[in-house]
Amino acid sequence: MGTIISIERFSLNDGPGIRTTVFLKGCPLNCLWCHNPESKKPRPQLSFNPDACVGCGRCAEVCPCGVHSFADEHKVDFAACSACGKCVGVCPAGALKIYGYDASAEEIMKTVLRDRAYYETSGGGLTVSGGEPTMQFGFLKELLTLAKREGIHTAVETCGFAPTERFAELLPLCDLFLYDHKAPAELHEKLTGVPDELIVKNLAFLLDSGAKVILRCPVVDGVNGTNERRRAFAARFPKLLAVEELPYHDLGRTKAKRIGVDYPDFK
Amino acid sequence: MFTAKDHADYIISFINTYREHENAPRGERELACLRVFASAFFLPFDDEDIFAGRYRELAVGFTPQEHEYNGYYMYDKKVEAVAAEVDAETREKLREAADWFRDRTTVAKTIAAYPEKITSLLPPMADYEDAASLLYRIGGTFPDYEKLVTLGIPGLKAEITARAAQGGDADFFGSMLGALDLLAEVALSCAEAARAAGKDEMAASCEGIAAHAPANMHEALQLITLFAHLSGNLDYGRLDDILAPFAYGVDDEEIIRLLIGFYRLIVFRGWIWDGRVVVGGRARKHEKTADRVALLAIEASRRYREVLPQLTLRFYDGQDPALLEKAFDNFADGYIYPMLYSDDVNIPAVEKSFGVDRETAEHYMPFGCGEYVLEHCSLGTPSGTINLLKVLEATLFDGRDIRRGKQILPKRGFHDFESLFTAYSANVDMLMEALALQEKIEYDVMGADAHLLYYSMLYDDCIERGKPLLSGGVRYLGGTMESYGNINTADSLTAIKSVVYDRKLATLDELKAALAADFKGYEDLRRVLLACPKYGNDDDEADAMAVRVHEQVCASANAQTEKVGLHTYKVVIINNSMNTTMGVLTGASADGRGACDPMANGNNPMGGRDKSGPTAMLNSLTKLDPSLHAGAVQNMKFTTEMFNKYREKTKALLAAYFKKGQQAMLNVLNKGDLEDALVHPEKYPDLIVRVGGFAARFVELDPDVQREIVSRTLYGNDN
Repeated sequence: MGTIISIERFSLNDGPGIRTTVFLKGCPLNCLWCHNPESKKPRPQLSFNPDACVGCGRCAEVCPCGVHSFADEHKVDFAACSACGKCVGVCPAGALKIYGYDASAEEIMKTVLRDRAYYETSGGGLTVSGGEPTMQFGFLKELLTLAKREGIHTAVETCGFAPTERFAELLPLCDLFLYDHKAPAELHEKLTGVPDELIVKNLAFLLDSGAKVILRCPVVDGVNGTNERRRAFAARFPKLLAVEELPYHDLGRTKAKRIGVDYPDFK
Repeated sequence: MFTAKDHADYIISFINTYREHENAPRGERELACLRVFASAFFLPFDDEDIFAGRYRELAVGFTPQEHEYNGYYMYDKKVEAVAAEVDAETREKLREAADWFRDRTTVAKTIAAYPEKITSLLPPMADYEDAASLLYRIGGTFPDYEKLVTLGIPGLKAEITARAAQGGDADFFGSMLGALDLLAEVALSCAEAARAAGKDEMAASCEGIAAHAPANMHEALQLITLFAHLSGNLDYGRLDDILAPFAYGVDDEEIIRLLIGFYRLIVFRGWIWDGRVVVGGRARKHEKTADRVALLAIEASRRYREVLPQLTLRFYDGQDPALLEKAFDNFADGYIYPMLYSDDVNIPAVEKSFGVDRETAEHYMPFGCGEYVLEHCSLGTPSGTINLLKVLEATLFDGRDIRRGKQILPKRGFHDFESLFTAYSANVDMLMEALALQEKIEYDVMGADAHLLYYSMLYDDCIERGKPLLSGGVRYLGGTMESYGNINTADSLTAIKSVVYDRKLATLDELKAALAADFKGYEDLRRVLLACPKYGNDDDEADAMAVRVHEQVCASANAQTEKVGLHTYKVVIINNSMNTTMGVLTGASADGRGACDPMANGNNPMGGRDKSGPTAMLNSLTKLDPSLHAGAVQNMKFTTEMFNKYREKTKALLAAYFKKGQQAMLNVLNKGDLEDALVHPEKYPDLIVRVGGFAARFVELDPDVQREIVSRTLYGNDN
């Protein structure tokens, strides 16, 4: 079993062709600008949208952990929540939801295979993203193995922060790596929570091993280095298939607030 | 100037002509009436017209398909309007004539022929309040225009004369010859007017076609135009192949000029539900040249950018890819035509559905809003409608319509989901039997009333057999009926099964109370119903129910075929704006749809309920077997951004869909344009949208229909 955030069909920006992208939960990095803060924690978690709440109190009635309180307004004690989901089922306003659910690789593949015809006409396939998919390594391998068995093109989107042996194991299973590089060396730990040595080493390893790699760089203006720095970095790796720059958006801010985590003012 | 007095004199003259010929042979009467009709019918051309053929709507006349009538028709209200404007003496004569004619129109005779099985169940004229309605028309015809432009008027006369010499129905042959003479006279009178106006090209063609077979493309299009208008034919068939022999040595811009001139009169006719011009596909005689004409026809439509013609592109694996590429250029430009039809799916489907061989099936033609016939050898006019959601409503409420309380179907008991489905099916079957029977009666009465001379001379077998179209002439006499509300019915049944019978979250009585109250006070139950799986998400449970509803209604229609003696009797899921019209008359439904809200369009998901992206939506669509019916339409909305930025991926999306999908009508729109057009209509005069089986300028649509179109899911690259 793996823990999934979502499966996105007709994904057009995560590799060639029409793809299905499976987002796995859990990430070892802690990027300040994280677009998907709900993907960081490895386990399912509650999200609450106060703007939609009608204050009916039904969630409090069914909650076994006393997460919901209504003293003067609806307060959510995220730390106490076990993500059982009971409150989601009774909320009349759709203000509550759980990010993350457990599923088997076979179940996921059933959904992925539904769009096989579209992969065939477009040169697409499966992309496993996250979070950081190598965090659920056994499950990731299982998914990729099933896809390869079906003859489906596979891509893995990774931040690169995992033991090199894992990438070695992925070589025969993954047709394309979408490999993130998030910040210059001297800023990397400050902005993402981890140093970049391992990430750079793994990138070199993959390219030396003949893997197909597209480098992806988030562009957070004035925060994570200049375009010149990014291009200079990419130039060190002539075997890269391509370099993609991903624009920053602040959808992560609202999502962070709704799952009760801080979203730092990094700009 | 055609005054009210002129109109009154025409009406009196038409009716008197009919009266004088009431007991004459059918052909003689039809021809005599056509002569009077043609004398008043045609209008002068506009300054910009390059083809003659404008006409006026007359209060009485003879035509296979008027808006509400067929054959010898009379619009009482129009006659009254004319009567109000003329002198007392004329008025008296007019009313006397109308009173005499009223029971002698073809529709009056059709209604008089109904058995109790029909009259006890359905009102004679459609109001769409009930679960089923009757329509009157001989629509969806594709006369053999290739033959027309090859033989011309003299050649057709020669063929008929030769056949008549072998003996047979002298009235039939003689009146067909007379009808061709009439066509030539009409052409000559147009020529005279054109000459007087200094329109030499038009004049020369009109003179030319009266004397010989068309010698060039202008003459061919002029002949088709006059024939179509006089015969009442509204769909034009495979224009690329028909015109191919005239395209040699004519440059592209000249062909585009002629096509736009031809389209101009199709737009003038204003039959937005018809006006099919079909290009591409298998079984064209001159494929290579036809492909060139097809490309120009697509380009002409893009430049002209109107709601008509309903340009239709058939394509197959192996066809010149430039045609589809050209279609995509149109879409990327925000234009809706051509509609796409996959021969690789449709031909085998038609082969099975119509029970014909592959070669015959290659001649399938989508007409009107999307029903199929076989060009110039089969009929399949849609003469009835069913609102399946209303059938389900009445089934749940002891046969009653919940809005009006009227008993519209028998009360049938049920105690679990399967017996509910059985009761619903029995109601569908009961209505279907009446609808099919009506279709056959309509054909029989029409056939007894008239030969339909113009169609008979250009439908396969009629001349050879010496038999008029509806009296043993047409090779395949089939029928169709339009089914609406299929998807809401399926989603409602899914919800009822889950909520009432499987999970028991509400009793049947609670559900009925909620529906009767339009969910007021039952908001929680509505939420539960809305949360049930919905068709359009590639969801096994919801889609299986849609398949079940689809198969039931298709089988119900098929089962009537032999009973009533037709070659085929098929469902079409074509949808014009009837999903909105009927939705307004239908109570709240168990899928969570509110009372009077629109129903889903055609086979499409209910707007906004397809939440799993376009691949999932398209997968749902392709689960409904196209070989069970005679046509269905699927509307899809995509963003312009997606079409332009991801053109190859969008093409791949549709290529995969078309492995199983038969048809697609694409609307490519900028995000927010429709919403903005509701607020600032003046900014969007040219925003053309597909409604269902027809197109319209968005700002001219009824507000209910506008809202329904806005509610449909718009697919982009960032779903």
